[in-house]
Amino acid sequence: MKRRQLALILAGAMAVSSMAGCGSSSSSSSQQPASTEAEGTAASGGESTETEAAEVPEERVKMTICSADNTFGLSTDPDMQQAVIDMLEEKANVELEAVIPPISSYNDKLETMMAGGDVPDIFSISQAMTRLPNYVAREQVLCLDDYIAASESLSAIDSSYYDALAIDGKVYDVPYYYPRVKCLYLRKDIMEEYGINLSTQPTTEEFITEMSKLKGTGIIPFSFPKWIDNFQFFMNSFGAYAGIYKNADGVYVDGMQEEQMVDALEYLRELYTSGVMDQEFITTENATMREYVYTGKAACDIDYVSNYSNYVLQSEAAGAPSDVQPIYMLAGPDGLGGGLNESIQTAWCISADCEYPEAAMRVIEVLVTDPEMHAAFYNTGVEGIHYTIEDGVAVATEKATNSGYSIKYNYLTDSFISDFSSLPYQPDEETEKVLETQRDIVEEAMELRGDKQMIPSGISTLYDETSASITSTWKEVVSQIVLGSVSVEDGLANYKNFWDSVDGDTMLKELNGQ
Amino acid sequence: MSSRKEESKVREKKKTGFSGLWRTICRQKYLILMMLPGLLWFLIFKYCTYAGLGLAFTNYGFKKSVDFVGLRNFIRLFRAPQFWTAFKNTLIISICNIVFYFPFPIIIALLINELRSLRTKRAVQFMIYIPYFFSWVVVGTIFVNILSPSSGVVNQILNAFGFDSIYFMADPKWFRAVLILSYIWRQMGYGAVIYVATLSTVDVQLYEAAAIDGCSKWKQVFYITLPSIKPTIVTMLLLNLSHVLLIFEQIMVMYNASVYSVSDVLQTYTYREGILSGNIAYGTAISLFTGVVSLVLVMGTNWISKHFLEDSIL
Amino acid sequence: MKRKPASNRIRESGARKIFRVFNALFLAAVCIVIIIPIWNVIVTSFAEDKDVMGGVYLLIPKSFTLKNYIRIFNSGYMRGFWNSMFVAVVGTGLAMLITVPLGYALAQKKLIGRKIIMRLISITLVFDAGIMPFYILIKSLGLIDSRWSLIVPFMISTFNLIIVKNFMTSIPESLIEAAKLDGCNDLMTLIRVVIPLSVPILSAVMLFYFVSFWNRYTEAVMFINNSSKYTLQVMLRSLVFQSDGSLGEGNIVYDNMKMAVMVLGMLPVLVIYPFVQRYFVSGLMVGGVKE
Repeated sequence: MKRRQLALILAGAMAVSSMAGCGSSSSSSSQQPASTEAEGTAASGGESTETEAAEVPEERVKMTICSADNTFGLSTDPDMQQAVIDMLEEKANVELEAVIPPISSYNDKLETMMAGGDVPDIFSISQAMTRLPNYVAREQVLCLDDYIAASESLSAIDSSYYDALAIDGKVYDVPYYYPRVKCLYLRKDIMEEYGINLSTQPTTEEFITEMSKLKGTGIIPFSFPKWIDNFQFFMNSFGAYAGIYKNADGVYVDGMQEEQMVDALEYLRELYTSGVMDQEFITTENATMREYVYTGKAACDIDYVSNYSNYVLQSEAAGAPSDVQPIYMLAGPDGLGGGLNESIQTAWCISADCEYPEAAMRVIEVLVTDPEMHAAFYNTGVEGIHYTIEDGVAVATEKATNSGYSIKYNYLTDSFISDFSSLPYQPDEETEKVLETQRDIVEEAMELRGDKQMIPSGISTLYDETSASITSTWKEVVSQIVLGSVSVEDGLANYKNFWDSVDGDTMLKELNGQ
Repeated sequence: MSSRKEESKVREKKKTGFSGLWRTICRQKYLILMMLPGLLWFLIFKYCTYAGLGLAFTNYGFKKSVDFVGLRNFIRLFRAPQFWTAFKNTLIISICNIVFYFPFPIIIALLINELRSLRTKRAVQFMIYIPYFFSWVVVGTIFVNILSPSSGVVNQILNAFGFDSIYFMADPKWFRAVLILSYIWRQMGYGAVIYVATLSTVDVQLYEAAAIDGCSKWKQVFYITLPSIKPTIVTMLLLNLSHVLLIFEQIMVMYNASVYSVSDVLQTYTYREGILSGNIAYGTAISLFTGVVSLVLVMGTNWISKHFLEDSIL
Repeated sequence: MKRKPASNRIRESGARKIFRVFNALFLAAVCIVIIIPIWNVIVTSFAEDKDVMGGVYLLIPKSFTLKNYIRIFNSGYMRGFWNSMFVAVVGTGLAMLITVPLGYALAQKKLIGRKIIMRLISITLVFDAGIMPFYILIKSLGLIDSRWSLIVPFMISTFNLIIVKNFMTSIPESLIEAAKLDGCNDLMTLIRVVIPLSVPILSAVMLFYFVSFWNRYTEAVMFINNSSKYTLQVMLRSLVFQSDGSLGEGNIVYDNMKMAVMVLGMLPVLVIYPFVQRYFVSGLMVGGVKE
């Protein structure tokens, strides 16, 4: 209650002069541990770990780490997050100050910190393909080539995952987990009941005809979320790609204006008019879509391959247990197709201004390759805080459950670590079986994933400036076509108008270096 | 009368120059002391940030080095078709909000004022104020549910009357109406609170005198109530105008790709270009432009208010 | 107007009755439109997991459980609740302390430099420099990651200030001058005469301040780094607002839990409002003294 008193005193002071108010309030913020100021790498003076401050050995350097609140042990409870931070400090022998914004505002927060000159020493980036080029162009991230080479465990990761995000042959990040791939999930009980006969790689036509069997049953045949990017799954079947990409000849082209896009859009339109796709997809959240399938309200949806176990376990929790069958790709008329490839979604970077890059690298190394740390940070948290072990199985504590935490084993299939047997707990038998299947699904999906391309920043100013508009425009046009507000022709004509107005052709020429 | 005298006195004193000014300051020392904290606050938290508007003339956020680029951001702005769409949408949505939303709280407040029982009065007031406690995220979810073509209440009513279901949230023709209605739904109580508070200060004796004169209730409303709350109405109009261009959160949580063309507004455009794409300078340029347009809008209304209502608000 | 007072009144009372009925019906309809979604939130917050899965819209309770609330009261959300409470209570107090005197001073026509000050203040109504300059300012004041960063920069809302100022302008000058003749200085006049007369509008403004402090979200994320200082709105948002999933998967949280946190988020305002509301009409008592 000391704070309340301080507030009262401040209130009095402020009534006299706001200057006095400002003065005292800034001093109140500097009441935090003096070590914050002593270091001074970042102006953000968060409370440091008071509990451990006393035992911290001298050589521990202090740095900031920023990652969204779906990490740090999957609990939004600050005390529980602190336990994970403590563990990380111990393992990497550094002192950390963590910034853990809500996941929905993560990009805004990171962007604000970076633009405001408070680049965190270590930070995770999401949608890495879109964002990394921008950070590199701004010279805010450190080139990690040498550091990765120096680390045995990090250089053991397949180089193709580094290459996916390399810019001019240089690597600026460490991928956190495998590329994200989405496939379709189809409830097996509904398949049986209504005689839907689909393989894991059916054709586009088969998909519509078979799913149409559900019309009039009250079950939504195919639930789809509001995020338009997911249409790429179907575009893959026609060799189409929304957005600018490098084609087979190594030339940058605009996917919306390629011939095959017309077929892809017509197919998507048919998917909607035939009643297969959820008529209300544009207002459906991911969570709602999933719940539709868990409860059997919908037969099929699109989701990450690593979420397979959720479908099996959650449908049981919902009282409608069923296995789901993955559909990795739909084969188009020319046999093309592939899963929705979202590439490396999350990666770790180090600030270009970081004073102790070696120490920062140590933190990343631990996060990405240490089995115990990876599991704790990515999913499960700390023993005694998030869970307790009973007969070799982890059980969530009550306090953790209250904040919405539940034990997840995604780390077993997502991470680059192959062996988690050193952990003191293992999933129970039933979960283990499900995860076994999931592992196979992930592997197969990786084989069948479609294309995803990255365009470097700083080559064409015109592109850097208009890429956001291009993305929002194609999404608008595609969704309007699917919903039937415009015909395919008119929609594409609208897009062409937009393209001309931003001088798209000049932009492509710049990108192609002409 | 006395105030006019005072003013002329002040003017006289001003003529005598610095010492006169000093004497006025001394006489108003309490007033000035009372103002000081607030004015300092404005200086620090408003005017200091305006220095940041200078970023609009740089390339901040795009490269490592920050250079002065003159009007480049503005040229790009005026050339961008998406900017003009956003500008047009902002104006349309703002004007509709003013036209349709603005009278609503006044009417509601007047109607509440006509209720006899104090308890009912308070209950109604309380209820219409509740939606204001919801953040837009929640309001957005609520409207998606109500307007759902398959299960929503609104479409079930439409179907009962033999009309087809409408996908309001995805139909460019209807989406703006959804925005305005949800705006009314959430903000109605907020405005009404101010009017109710103002109405409570209208002198009861005026009504009593009017009733004795045999004035009908309607006439009382037009000749007593409305003139009494006129300054508040004009103030609210101006204040509403000043931030209509800043409409953001509501649209951010309610719009979707299929209705971008009718609902992308200046603030969502700024958010996409400025924050998400990391081009701070460009975002600031849009902020500056928005500010100038708002200023013209508000000052214009203030001017009209001054000339036609003989009552300047600001 | 005075021609036929008696018959006029008789006809009027008939029309009045009809008006009253219509008025009551209309307001009832408005209330129903408002209440239904709120009812849904409350019913959902008391429901079991199974009954809320799959985007079900509950109006008739299917199950009743306090489980969701018990979970919340024993979780990290309570810390956010108290953080919000601190920001909102201290913030509202300070805001009133600074807004009311300024509003009073600006309402005095004789005030030196009044016009130019009003002009300068009005500009802040329309100009918003955007989040970046704001962030840099807060940073240079050393307020980043301090709870005060959610209080001090929002102590004045120009909107509320102008409402207060305009209301105070409408207070008859004769009353103020009478107080002055009694030997009151400006501060005493404000406290003894002006504030009692402005109770309705001040309570409304106070409510606005409280809600705005309570509901502030964007700045709370931008200025606060340490998650132990996050306000409830930040926690609520990470629970309710759906990301596109490409950022990775969080926990599976069903609607009942979300709604329970929403109710928690509304609770203080719901509790405070009826108390404040009493003062909206108290002006009636002093209104008679006005002329």
